[in-house]
Amino acid sequence: MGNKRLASQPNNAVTVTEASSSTPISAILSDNILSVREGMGGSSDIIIRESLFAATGKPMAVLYTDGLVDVTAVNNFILRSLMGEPEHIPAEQDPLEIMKAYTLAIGEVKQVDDMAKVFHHILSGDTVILIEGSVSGIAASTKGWKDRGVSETSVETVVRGPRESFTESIRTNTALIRRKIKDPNLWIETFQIGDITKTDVMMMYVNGVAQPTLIGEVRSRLKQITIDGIFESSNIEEMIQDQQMTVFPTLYNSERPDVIALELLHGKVAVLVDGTPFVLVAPALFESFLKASEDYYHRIDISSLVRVLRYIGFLIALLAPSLFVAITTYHQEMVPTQLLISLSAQREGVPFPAFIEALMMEITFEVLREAALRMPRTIGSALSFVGTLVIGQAAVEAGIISAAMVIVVAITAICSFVFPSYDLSSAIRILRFPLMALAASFGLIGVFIGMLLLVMHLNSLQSFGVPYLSPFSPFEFDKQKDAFFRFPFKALFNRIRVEKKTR
Amino acid sequence: MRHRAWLLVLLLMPMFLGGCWSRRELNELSIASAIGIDRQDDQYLLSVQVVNPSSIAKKQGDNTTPIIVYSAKGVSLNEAVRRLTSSISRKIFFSHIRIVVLSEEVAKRGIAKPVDFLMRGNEIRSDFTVLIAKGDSAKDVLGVTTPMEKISANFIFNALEVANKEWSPVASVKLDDLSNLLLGTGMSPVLSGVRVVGDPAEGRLDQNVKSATPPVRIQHTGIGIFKQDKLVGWLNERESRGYSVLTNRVRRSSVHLVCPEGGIIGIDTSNVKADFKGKIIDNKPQVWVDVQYQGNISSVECPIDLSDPSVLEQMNHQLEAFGQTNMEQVIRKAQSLGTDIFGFGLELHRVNPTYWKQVERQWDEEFKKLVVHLQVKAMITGTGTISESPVRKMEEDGL
Repeated sequence: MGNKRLASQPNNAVTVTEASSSTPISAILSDNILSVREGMGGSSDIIIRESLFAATGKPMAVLYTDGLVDVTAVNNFILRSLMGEPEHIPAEQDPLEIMKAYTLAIGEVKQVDDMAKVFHHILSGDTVILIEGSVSGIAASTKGWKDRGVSETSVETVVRGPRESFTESIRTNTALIRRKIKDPNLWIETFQIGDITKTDVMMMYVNGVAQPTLIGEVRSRLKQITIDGIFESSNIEEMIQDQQMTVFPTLYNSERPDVIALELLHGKVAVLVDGTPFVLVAPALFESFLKASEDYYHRIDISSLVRVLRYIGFLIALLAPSLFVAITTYHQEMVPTQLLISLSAQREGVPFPAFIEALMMEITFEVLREAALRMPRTIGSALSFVGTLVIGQAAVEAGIISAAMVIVVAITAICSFVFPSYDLSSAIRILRFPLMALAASFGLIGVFIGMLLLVMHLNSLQSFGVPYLSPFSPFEFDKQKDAFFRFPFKALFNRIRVEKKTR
Repeated sequence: MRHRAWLLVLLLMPMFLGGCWSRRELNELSIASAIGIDRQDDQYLLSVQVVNPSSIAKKQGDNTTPIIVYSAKGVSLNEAVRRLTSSISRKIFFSHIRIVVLSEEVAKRGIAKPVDFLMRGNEIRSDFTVLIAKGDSAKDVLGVTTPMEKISANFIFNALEVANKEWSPVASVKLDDLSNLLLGTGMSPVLSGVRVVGDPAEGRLDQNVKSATPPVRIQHTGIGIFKQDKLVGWLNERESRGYSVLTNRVRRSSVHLVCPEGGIIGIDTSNVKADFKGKIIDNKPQVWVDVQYQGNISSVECPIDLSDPSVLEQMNHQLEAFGQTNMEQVIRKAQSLGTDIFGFGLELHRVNPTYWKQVERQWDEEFKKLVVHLQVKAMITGTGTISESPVRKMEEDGL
């Protein structure tokens, strides 16, 4: 869609690049320089250094994008060696061959044959060398822009375990994974997605452990993507997930190299996207969103306990407000007498029905949460102060909201933060509201029918061909070792070896 | 696709079983905690004790009274309930009833009709205790304010539960059990009595709970025995104790025995167990009752040597005799009234159904002739945390 719109404007960069894609490199250096200048609209960050190639005495041009290259590398290993006095160089050879064989002191060097490639290399931080009389050029890898550096995880924090997280640079990210799995079977396939952004997307898997069908499926889905721009792995996620009509995430993402490495060892496929620290993992099952990397770093007893706690937290976060509304408005006989008296005393003088009360509180909480995310960090404390005061105290004291409802909403809010994955908690946030409406209009019957529909929906989901609710449904006895409870690490790794053998 | 649509329809249909129309907000309900049923002018006088939540739950509690008793008359109980609504602003919610108090007059006329009403309605649960107001009207019992428990129905309910376990001469009977007994044969129901000590009019006042020794209070007293559904008599304390042991109601109790040299010894009994064995001999029913007591000495108020086994042996005998007389008394009383409150009939039904078929109709008459063999065994096992009594030391020093 975007493509069409852009294509209709002739002066757009896209059309220029598309036009130049068929253009071969001219033998006349000045023509090439001109087409680069024009192609880029004379952008000031494109540096074109014209000089003479000392070995043959021919004019050459060194092209790179300022800011994307490591300037010292360009100066020391390209300019100095190309312009410096040559030693023992057979002058009769092709100048490009001489460069590659004798003068360029750069590791990764590629020959480029058309202008589109020239543009691409320049814009990805490589240095392109064009020489008079030659219809190809050389692209030397000199990528060296400022990036954030490996820092501590900010989303998935742990008490015990590695603290490093991925960065925005895809090379750093692949390196971080390679450092965990030093095996030649860790394979990477690279794609370029995004007609304009030409974002590097890499698919990573352990060959021999990951199912070939899964690898093929991910590959083909990645290849089918046609879009102008990719900025985050979620863009990819949206386009390769099995089903659009669901609130549940069917791809897992993590910013932790250790999580990704473990998933790769479990036969999954990782998708890395340049420019984002969040790496995708496919397939992702319901249970993967309730596992934290830390589960594997603590003792099994506490890990299992915490994991069970997360499942309980899931149910509370999903159901607490709706159950409260249903029970207090339809099934008062179920509440213990003392509690009922206390609840009914709190409701004395509250002007709204329980459902409206719950809805108001939930919305207030969601608004607070969103506001806390969006506003400048410096005024954050003011917001939380106002939030707690307004919701926690004033509303109850004014008799607009009953204290029990504040407790229920607070418990719900806290429980929605126990998941290691933010994606699942957003799914629950969405589902909470329809369940509350069902509870308010049909009581517990409504809630249970809602749950029934939810389970049916979850059962219908798949992630890259794997049923979403497995290993619970379909029940896989063997995989229970790492579902509700975590079995010893040894047991988990035996599993991988078995999988490897059977293939 | 059509299947899916049908499935959805099927799933959505049961939703209308609930539906908005049965929605009630908590502040539109009056939670009833107790029901009292009296007879007045040949009509039922239904009293409902309603909880005032804001007086109970708030930390400070406002000065309004925690319970309110509303009464209304009606030829039928349901009519009385409906009439009540004219004097109360909210819908009365009966699911949290703890006790139902019947006046003695209602009990004497037959409790089947009130029990039918209580069992039939779907809102009233059947796990509350049924009691008889002994001497007073049910309305008076419900109106007495109690300290500690702001809701007097809770007080009456909890006090009975505790007493039923710790002190034998009461019987906590739930509506379930009562209706089962009324519907079945072979065992007649009993209900515990409750009465107001002091002037009921004074007990309704707030001042009652502000005194350290409340002038008006509620007391559980005695067990009323029924023939069919009519109250025919009351058991006194010793008979009640015998009854509780025979029906395995009591877990623990306290007994005092007399020392040979005068003075008393207190015994805490525990693990009291009674076992029936019925047999038909020559077409005459006989029942063997095995009763076991275990006891611990809780206080010694006489010079006695507890380390002497013969002393304990002698005390065992005393305890056995005590239990035996209680039980004989209560059996005699029940037989004279012709109502089998122990469930001997159930036992005979179990061991010999053909015999039971013959006598089922006239069991009350047969029961009068029933031979009951009592076998009581007592075992005093513990002497408490001290062996030698300070009392004995005193007396020895005195010599």
